[in-house]
Amino acid sequence: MLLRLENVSHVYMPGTPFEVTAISNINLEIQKGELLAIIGETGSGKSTLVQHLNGLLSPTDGKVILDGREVGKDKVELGKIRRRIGLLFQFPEQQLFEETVYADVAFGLKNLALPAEEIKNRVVKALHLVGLDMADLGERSPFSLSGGQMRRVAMAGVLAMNPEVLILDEPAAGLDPRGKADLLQKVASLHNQHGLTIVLVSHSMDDVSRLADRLIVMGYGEIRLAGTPDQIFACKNELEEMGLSLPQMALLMHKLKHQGKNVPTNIFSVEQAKEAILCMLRGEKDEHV
Amino acid sequence: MSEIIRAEGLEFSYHKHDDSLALSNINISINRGEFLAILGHNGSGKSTLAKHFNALLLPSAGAVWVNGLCTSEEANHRSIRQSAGMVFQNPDNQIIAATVEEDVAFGPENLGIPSAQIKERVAEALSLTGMTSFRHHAPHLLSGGQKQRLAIAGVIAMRPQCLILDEPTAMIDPRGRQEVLDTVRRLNREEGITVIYISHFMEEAIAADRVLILNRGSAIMDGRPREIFQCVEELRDVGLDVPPVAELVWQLRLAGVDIKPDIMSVDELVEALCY
Repeated sequence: MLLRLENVSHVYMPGTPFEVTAISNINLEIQKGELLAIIGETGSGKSTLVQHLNGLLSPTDGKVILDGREVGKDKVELGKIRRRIGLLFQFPEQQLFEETVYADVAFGLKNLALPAEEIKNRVVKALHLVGLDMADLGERSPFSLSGGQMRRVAMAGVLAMNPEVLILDEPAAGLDPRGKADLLQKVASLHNQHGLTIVLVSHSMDDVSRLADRLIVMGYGEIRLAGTPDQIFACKNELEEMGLSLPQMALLMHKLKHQGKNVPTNIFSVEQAKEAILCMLRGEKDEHV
Repeated sequence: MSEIIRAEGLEFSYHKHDDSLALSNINISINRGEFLAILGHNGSGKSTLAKHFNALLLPSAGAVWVNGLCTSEEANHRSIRQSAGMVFQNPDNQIIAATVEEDVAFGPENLGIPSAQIKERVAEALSLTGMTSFRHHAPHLLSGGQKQRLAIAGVIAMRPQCLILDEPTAMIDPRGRQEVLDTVRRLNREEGITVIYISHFMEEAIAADRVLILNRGSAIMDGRPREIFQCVEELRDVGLDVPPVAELVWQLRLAGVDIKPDIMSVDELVEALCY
């Protein structure tokens, strides 16, 4: 186990009229090499929760433990933790600022005082990981790129720091279908081929259901459901109560089952749905014979 | 039905000295009371086209008329912008005042309308967008969906005949997206306001009367959503996804299942398979 949250709560602006409990009593473990997705409505505490994972926020109550040591006890350690656990914010393209793509990705590395050669290697590698080519784009202004490309440059900036865990807050929000499919596929390959531990924050069931090993569902600052995608999407009513909708294909299967059809409900993709319906129709035909 | 917007041979280039066209040879006629969705991949020219409908951009060639007024005449701009109001993608960039009520009043105040009438218009706009109970709230503390409804209220207070929304839900969560879409649909159905809705969410276009697909600045398809979403392969070629249910129906038909090709919702498909 890599990272553990023990009874973590966070209260914003305590002791003022604006006091808000954003998350309360969170217990969560993140295993090395897994792809964990955190889903929940806006305001459910997802972003507050992930900011605890790399020490950007400290719990107002409870503990965050990385490799057996409590995060935040020692200020010097915080820098190291943030390097091990990379966080990509929502709409990260808004944080690009340098004149060239190269300089933007290299910014964090320069602050580590690494040799120039090492910086260059890491930048090229990070751009490659997100599917961008240094020779093509390195000297371009990041602001001349498309939205999807800008987002991938921002992601490269985090990857260049060689984190062990990559946390992505709504990585596909606002991208068009092609940009979104591209980006999610890059996330999947970072996990599958490069073994990176990934925490994906999203409100889109359709996006995360295909990627995640494990899901947690947040509601009103608490973990309401946790399990594999199969287990979570069996809980249709609970999800709807929390303002989340099932992936369309899962919803279809639930409704068919409700009509007395013999179909599985743990289905998320069009491909799976097609197979299940063909199988259902074949079964009905056999009965008639 | 009478026409509210017309474009003929519309061309537009962002750079005077280069040949790349952001829009080429667009011909379209939009009727009063219609709900038109414009879909396309990023960079397909959707926003560029929408900005021609209220004279924020002017054609490099061809012409656009709003309410019979040509956008190329500067003297028409004030009247055109009053009849065609625009809502943009990022709600945070459109909010200017300290309370919801003041924010909605901003537009009418600039028209020099007497204050009693402004009050009336603000109350009406807030009620039409379901924002009345938030009227004394600070806009920056609203949710994404509420902020977009506020932006719509601000435009509605100008009493436009046509509402143009440029990806109004791209930055907000599913519940907020539904709120915005419901509001827009109600304004269209009940108040008869013409809606031009730009999006890359295919599911949202299902609500429209008509869908226009743009690719590289050209209009490549124009029709009812049910017709358009049957063209799964053509849509994929231009970087768009069909709604998952439409895609499943297409796949099932390819596999020889005998169902209608124009099914678009989960409930329609359940019905087709069960009865």
